[in-house]
Amino acid sequence: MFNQIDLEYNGPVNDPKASWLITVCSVLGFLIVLTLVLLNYDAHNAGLRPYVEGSLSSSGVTNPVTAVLLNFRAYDTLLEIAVLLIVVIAVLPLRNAKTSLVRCIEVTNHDLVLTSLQRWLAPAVLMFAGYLLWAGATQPGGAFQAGALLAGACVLMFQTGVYRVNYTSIMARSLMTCGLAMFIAVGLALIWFEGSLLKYPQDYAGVLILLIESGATLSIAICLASLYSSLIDIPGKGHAATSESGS
Amino acid sequence: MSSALLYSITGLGLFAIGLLGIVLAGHVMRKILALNIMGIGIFMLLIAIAKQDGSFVDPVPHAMVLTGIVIAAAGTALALNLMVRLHRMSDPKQRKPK
Repeated sequence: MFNQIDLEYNGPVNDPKASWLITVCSVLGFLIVLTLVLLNYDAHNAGLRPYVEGSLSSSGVTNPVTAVLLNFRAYDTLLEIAVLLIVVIAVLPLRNAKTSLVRCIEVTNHDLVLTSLQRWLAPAVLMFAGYLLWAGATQPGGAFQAGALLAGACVLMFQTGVYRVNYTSIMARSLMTCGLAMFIAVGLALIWFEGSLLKYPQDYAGVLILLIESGATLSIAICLASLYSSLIDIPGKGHAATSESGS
Repeated sequence: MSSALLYSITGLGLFAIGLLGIVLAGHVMRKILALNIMGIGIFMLLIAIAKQDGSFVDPVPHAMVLTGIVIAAAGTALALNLMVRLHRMSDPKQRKPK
């Protein structure tokens, strides 16, 4: 059914120069209006900062950004991890789920620089991600930064070709969902104990936030790494099958 | 001119560049890149507005941007995957020669 798909639009255009001019002029006008609005925008109130500072002591952490992300507006973060998981589910090609998570593959051409870089960097990145996760309570840092760093280490391992991760294995799937599962479990437990979703008791807020962040770090790292590898590691078998059905 | 204002105007410029790219670019890949540039412009504007006065920083826009970056990365990955699939599903014999 997809006999001919062009990723590049090359349909009829009446006057390409005129349409180009109209687009540029309208975008420039839009930019000028927005800049004027910005220049006259001097009545900036304090925003939500007084509210955040006022209740920071009861949030369990001392970094205001982490407090907003995981305490005051924890719904956003919960839904964000859900969105990431949905994208991974949409992208993940259905492949053999029986193999293990990490499998050593035979390296045909040794890239000395990349391989030694990966050997030196991967443990350091792992340690630094743990530090970022821990530091998120008091300084800039937290689950997202640590997860992105871990995903970077996974990409480096993917590039060297020493380890090939199977992102459809049961192990990888459970790691991807553990962040959301832990978040929802904490929320449900808090409904039971506190009567409201994600309303932390003051004494345990710091521990619960660290628990949620640890699960979220693992999930974000594996999800981002699988999204990266999905662009490159598309199996040839599926490709042949789809092009046969397309013709 | 304060540095926050400079960053805000740069963010607006990036937004306009992305908007132009989405409208004018022919290829889907360029449109996805333009969408990313647009998003980065919005993030930059939000971060700059959070520190308008210099003395205090509003943490809520920072948290919003942190959420938005992850969502933007996920959306880009989904769009790129759809593009690659579309490209592979199209019949190479009937593809127009460039």
